[in-house]
Amino acid sequence: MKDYSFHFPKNLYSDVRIETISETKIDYLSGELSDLKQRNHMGAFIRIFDGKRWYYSSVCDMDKIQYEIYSLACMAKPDSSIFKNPIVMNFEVNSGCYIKFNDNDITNIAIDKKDKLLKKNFPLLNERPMINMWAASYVDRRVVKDFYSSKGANIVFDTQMAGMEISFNLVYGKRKFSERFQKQSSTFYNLQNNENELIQFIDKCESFILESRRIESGEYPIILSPFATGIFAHESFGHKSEADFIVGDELIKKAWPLGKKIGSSYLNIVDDGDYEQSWFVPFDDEGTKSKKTYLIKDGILTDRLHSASTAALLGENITGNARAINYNFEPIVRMTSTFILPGRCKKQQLFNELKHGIYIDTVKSGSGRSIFTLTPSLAYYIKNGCIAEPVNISLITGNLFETLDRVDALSDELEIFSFVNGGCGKLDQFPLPVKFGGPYMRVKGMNVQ
Amino acid sequence: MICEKLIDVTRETAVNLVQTEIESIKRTNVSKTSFRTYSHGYIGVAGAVGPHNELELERVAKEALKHKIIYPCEPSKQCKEKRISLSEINNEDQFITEIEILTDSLRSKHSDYSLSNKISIINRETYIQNDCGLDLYNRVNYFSVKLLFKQKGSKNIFDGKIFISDREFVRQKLCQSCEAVFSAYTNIIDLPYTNDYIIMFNILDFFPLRKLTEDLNGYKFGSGNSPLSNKRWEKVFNEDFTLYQNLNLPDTFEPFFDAEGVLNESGGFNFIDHGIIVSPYTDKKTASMFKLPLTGSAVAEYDGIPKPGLTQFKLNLCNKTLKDLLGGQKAILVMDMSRGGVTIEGDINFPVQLAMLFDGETLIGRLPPFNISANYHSLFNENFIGATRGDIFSNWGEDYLLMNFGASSIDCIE
Repeated sequence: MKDYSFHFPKNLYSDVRIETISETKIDYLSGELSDLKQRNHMGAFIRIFDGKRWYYSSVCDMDKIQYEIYSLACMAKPDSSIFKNPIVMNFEVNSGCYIKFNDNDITNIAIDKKDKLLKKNFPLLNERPMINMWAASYVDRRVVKDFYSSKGANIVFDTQMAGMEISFNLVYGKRKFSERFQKQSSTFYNLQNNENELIQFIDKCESFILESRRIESGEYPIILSPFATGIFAHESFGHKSEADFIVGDELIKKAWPLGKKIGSSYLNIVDDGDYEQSWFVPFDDEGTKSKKTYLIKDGILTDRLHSASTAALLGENITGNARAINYNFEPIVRMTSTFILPGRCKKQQLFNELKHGIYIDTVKSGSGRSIFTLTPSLAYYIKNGCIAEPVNISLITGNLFETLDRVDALSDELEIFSFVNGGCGKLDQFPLPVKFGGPYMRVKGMNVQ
Repeated sequence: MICEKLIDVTRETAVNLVQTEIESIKRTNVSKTSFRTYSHGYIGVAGAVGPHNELELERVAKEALKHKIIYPCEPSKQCKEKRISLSEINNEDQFITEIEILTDSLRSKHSDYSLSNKISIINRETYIQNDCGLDLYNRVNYFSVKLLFKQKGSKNIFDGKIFISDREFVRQKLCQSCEAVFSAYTNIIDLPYTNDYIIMFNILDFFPLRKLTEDLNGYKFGSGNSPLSNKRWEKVFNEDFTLYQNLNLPDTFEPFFDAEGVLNESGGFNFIDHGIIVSPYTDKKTASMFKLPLTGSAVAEYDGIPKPGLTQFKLNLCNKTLKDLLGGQKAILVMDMSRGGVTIEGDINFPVQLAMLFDGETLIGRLPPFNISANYHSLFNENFIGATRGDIFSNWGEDYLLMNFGASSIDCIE
């Protein structure tokens, strides 16, 4: 691993983030190989701060980093007291080597093995007459990040992910339904032996296209699966925890004070970059060690997600949530692994207590604004405590705060997920790999269309 | 064996705003090279970002042929054209100064609003060359505004968007656009009580239209997986509904050729023509596989295999102005909506997060968020009124889609 050395200009804060990326992508379309890529590339993102403005540049030629540092410094206005600036004072100075995946390095796995892993599933798809079209992808990515700053930070760390996604279209007469099966892990070996799970998932989708019916719009008690709970937590509340939307707005800071009760006392939502599994984020892209941050604890707004800047500007604690999608972008406040903590109920208890309601198993997408939305895929009616017939729901909407207050039960199991393809989008930075999840969660009422 | 190279270089200066002040200035210069080899019905591709060894790239591309990725098509050939379209966009220092003046003015006149995110100058060069006499070059520059606004004290992450792309950055025009939006946003009004609503959508933001373009994917269509499959030459949509692709200025800032070096002849290609499905969009392989017209709609990552995709699409605009189409009625202008969902039965629901009432010339005020319920198959039929260009935001012409919904389709959310 190369050790870099830079000359940082005086009276300015500077940092350099170098990313060395190795990626594999294998795509099949209905059994035919449609793409196969193995990428190895590196780049650097350079930042200079003069106390008033940031100046950024990115390069793919490592020999040009020093030149870019000088070039950006020419645009900035040096300040002899820069290291007393509250934002600069917030930057941690960490050093050391935090390479975790040398023993399980996915780049050491031969491409044939990865291809074989994917192909094992093809007979399972081809033998289903209702599956009219399918696509299968294997994806892996290993990123080694070197971070240097003019405060003396000098760290190297890595993260990696391997995953498989199978998407398929079912056709039954005029009815069409599509879904996708995903498996991801931080190592290749944990992806093995998923065939039974795929078979069961396809069975579920086939039943859905055959039997699903319309449902009357209205308000229903809802039970969300861990997957759906995770999407809900991420979209409806996670983005609102990103502190950059509060900076400079005293009114909203007063409306969202830490310590305010904003949800049911059952509710605990956490963001934790140090959470094991894929897309482990031990440090953020400003060199801050990641922390476990309680966003909501026992229904109380406890903390927000911060970069060094937002923490300084709001007078709150830094949390290690400054992330960029790659070396062409600046770090902004983002989530890492955001999930609702489990409760105490057994899963079946959540269902037993409902005479009627809706169970949301999978979700196609979600969004969070003043009104949050979830677009369900596999959904079922609950009748007298049991999952009954599948139902077609185009949209679930709700007011975030009302919904948080209506959470009345959580199961005692936690499941964490991540997308194999895609991820979180914010402004022009998409897709950022994130993790999300939770237990089974029951909400007294949500609006169903 | 035929060799082909595709290079894309994008230089950008982006000014990021936070709380209507310049927070950062970013300069990027990203060069992506794709090297392709074609041999005996297969394709091999290698790509590089930034500086690279050309011979090594060629070697890797040739070695990639061993994967036997089927590509039973001829590369584009014997076509040489160069198009350079550069407008007088301010130099970097001038650009930054203009934004400083803009933000100073907006902060002082509208301290109850904040703007964030980016205003950029973009310069893009794309070229494709191969051993068969293909030599196409495109260079264009433009500026891009992608601003989010928020009213102070709002509990939203942001309240609305101001997105504009154009050849010329005129500070006064952008200032006037922002002020028009702020002024209307401040005036909160109720949804008018009526039996029918005319609702206007920005064509590029309209989720059901994006879903329709997914259903026009050549592979999905040809393999029987699109609701439009097997409906070529059928009149499925409204007589006035024409959806097309045109890779020529001024309709787009994208290159005038697709990722396989195919050009759109003048006027582009109509996928849906006066309600009749002519063809889905295709790349060469999809067109050949399903015996469909080649529409010049190939997209590819810098190291990827071409596949069908749309970099641009438009609706045919009617001859009437926005005011004429409204015929004295008021309309709801949707400024921000969330992606909704479509069920197996074709029921579609999508929430409108921000809408303004529009009287044909000016924005009147902000309406409450609401949900639209409709049938997906009716949207571009019974609900469709027309598409036209509107100068709502200070003469930056935007294309709008007008639709008619009964009162029962509209449901206020709060």
